[in-house]
Amino acid sequence: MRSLLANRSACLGGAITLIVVIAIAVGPSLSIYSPTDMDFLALLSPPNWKHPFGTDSFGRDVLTRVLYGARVSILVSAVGVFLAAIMGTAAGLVSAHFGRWVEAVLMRAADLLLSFPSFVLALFLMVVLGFSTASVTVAIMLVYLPIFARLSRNMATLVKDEPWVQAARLFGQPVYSILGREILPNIGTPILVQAATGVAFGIVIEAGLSFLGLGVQPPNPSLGSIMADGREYFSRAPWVLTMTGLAISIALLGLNLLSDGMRDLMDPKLRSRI
Amino acid sequence: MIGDSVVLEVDELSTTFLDRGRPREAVRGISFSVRQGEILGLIGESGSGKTVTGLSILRLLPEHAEVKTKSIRFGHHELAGMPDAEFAALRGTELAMIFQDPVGSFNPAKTIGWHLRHAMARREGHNATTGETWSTDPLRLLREMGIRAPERILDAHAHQLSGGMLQRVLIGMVLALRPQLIVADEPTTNLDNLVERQILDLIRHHQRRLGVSVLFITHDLAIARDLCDRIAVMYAGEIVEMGPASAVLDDPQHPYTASLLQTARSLERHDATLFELPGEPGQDARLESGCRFAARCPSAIPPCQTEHPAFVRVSLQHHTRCLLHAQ
Amino acid sequence: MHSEFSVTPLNVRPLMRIENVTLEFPSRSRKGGAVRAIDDVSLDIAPGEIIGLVGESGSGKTTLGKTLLGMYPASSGHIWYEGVDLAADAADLKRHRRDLQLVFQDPLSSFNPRFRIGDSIALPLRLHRICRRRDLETEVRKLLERVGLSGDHARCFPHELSGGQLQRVAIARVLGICPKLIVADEAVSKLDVSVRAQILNLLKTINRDINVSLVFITHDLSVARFLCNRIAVMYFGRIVELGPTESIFSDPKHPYTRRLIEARHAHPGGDIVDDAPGPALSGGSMDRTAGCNYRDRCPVRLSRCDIERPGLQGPLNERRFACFNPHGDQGTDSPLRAAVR
Repeated sequence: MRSLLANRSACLGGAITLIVVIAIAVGPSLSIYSPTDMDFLALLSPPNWKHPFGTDSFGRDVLTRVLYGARVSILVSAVGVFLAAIMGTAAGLVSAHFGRWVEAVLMRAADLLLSFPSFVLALFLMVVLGFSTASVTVAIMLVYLPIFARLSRNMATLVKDEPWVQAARLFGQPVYSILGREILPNIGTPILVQAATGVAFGIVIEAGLSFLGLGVQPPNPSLGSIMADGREYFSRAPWVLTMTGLAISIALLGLNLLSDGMRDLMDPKLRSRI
Repeated sequence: MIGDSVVLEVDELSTTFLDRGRPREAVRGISFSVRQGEILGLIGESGSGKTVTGLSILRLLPEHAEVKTKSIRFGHHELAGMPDAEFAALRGTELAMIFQDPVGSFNPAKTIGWHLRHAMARREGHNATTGETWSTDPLRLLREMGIRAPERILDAHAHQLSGGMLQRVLIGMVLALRPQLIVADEPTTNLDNLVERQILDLIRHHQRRLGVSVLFITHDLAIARDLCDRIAVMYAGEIVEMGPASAVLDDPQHPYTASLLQTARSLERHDATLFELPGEPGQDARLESGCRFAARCPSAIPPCQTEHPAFVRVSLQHHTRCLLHAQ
Repeated sequence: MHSEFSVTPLNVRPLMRIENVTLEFPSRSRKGGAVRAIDDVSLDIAPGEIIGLVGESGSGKTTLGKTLLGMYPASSGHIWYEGVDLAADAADLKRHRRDLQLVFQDPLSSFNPRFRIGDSIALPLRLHRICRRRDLETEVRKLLERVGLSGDHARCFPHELSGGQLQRVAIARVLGICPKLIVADEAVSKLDVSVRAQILNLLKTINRDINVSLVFITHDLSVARFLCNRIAVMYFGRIVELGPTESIFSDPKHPYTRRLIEARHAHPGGDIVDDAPGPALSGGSMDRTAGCNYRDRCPVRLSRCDIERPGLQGPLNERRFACFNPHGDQGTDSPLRAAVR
């Protein structure tokens, strides 16, 4: 933990991410507006004291909508990635440990999913599952499942022949304990890094799907649907699209810096001492 | 033969590591010299600073290491303060090194033959040829290193060769460059005894023939006795004894040297219980006052806890750092 | 259960009987076939004895040590322990897991870096229910003290301790479950000289105190000489000489044994030509044709050695060696010089 704080990337990224998380957790409740409040007297008004991000074509406060939307986007992405991490890591650990046909089956299934470009896969899944917030979550989960599976299987394969794991087998330690105690804690960091990057890109997937109208349905706000709105009257009121895009960029920046910082920590060259 | 001129002269070398804000002195103000054609053994265990000494001279330490020295004279060059570019030209040609794990010295994508030709080309460009032809022919060079089927080796890559074989190739490459000084850091520690024996014989054979000076870093006293002309024993970053090999090994003046020898002898005699020194070699390395060996020393006297012993002369060439000999 | 060694030197029932064990790995070379890491090895291990497996890398000593623990599956042969053949039945092996343990060459990597060493020692105790949960901490302290460390070390992480200290912890961890046989795989090779002596003394003391058998794998004959009652010299997967330690040293019969003994001394006129066993390049084939495996390096080779492979001979249970020309007194056809004494 100490070394995490020492790394500038991780600090900055962590700080930004923390601000974003606090904003979406607390912000919506603090806002005097609701995301659906319409003020017909202030349609498409530029940023001002009453509406720091301006208003949209329905007179809704953009800042409030962005905060609510960001909450949905980030939650959807985080839940999807979290589920993918749990199931994918489990699959990877099992593959690495049992090898042979178990590994072959699981890894080929993963390869199958991976062979689709992520967005195409997400689109396909939306068609199959129907358009809703839940199905976006499932789509993101399925996009990342094989990534975690392969990552954890590769890392576990490296670790499983380490002497301390051999010692555990010699002591008669049960398989679940070997996987959970000896292997998993030692492959945790790359998985966390992947999770951070995953949440970042998951936001992009969600925003993209909602932008196309395939994800979160109106009137529920989502960063993507706000951007879809904003695109329509961009020439008249550029702030809607711009501020939303900026919000996404900040969230992504924070997450990516954080994961970069964590990745640096894993580099043995930076850690070694004579 | 060992000449009078000095190839390497180190004066007050100190190396400190910044270990998470706390400085750790790995080498504390050591001084020694290597004469033309001699093999100086730098003996020590973990934490003695012997490897760090070699790396400090060769400028191979990471960023967080701080090297301070009054002077490092190498031939007629002054290494302390020399610009990196100038030093880089010397290192690998006049000043060569052999490491414990030879694999790292090879480019994994290139063949052994490539490495040998590269080394020889570098030498051609750098030194005047001496008239010897063996070092211009890779096959002959490998045969001189005792490799029986050198043709197959030339087309191979480093990872295909065993440790012993690679070490032979590496020694060949290094010798082909006709360096003034070779720094060898535990080159045989990873090898089995039989192969180690052969590599040591190989080093001695060619060292005598070419008159190359060697700084030989090792923890093994038997190798030191076998190979070295002079020995410097290091403990906790300091040189605690230095002198001709026979003098130091037959008549050790420092209790640490004596205990190492006693352990080795105890093993040779296969006593029922081996002589052992309590504690760890890296222990008490951060003490500010007193002798660093005092906590483990079987001959310690009260002043040893508070007074840091100076390096004193015991006989003509023999020095030691111990209060028992301070006059 | 016929074996060449029907009675162990101590005339008691052996703790473990290794009978004609062979271990083959599929060869990675293009020619296919198999590589024999262990080639028809038979050996009895008596309770409480310390037996050394000595040889160079590739001799099969480590592989043999790990095979008798069940870490590798023998391709053929039997490993008899407590009346069952461990090589035949995985369930039997599992039941006796606790009795057969290993101390690794590199102490640092034999501990999970994420856990404190106290937890690492406690884990096998818990698995085998050696003591009650609330007594675990005390038990761990006792084990640490037994190997010469302070109980406070339980709080440390592996990287905070030195190699010597960690090897003591490794021994403590293994002792906790009271094994009957411990394989020490080059357990002191990576340690400093002064620390090596401490660990060797510790192993000897433990063997004396609890009568646990020790299979000590090493390439260093002088260490084997100090510690072991008997020594088995291995070459190319086979035992080429076996016997009580002093007899091996006072009267080595196999030329390879003689060479190993000489290795610690310099001989200025010695041959520096490389003749290490195995192919010059990895991926090359290892020609296991008829005849003695050692013949290419042997200074006392006879013409017979090219055609026939010497089996282990000599009086049962006492001294065994696999050589047609044990003292070189039958002359030789070899152009190699014998090692200078």
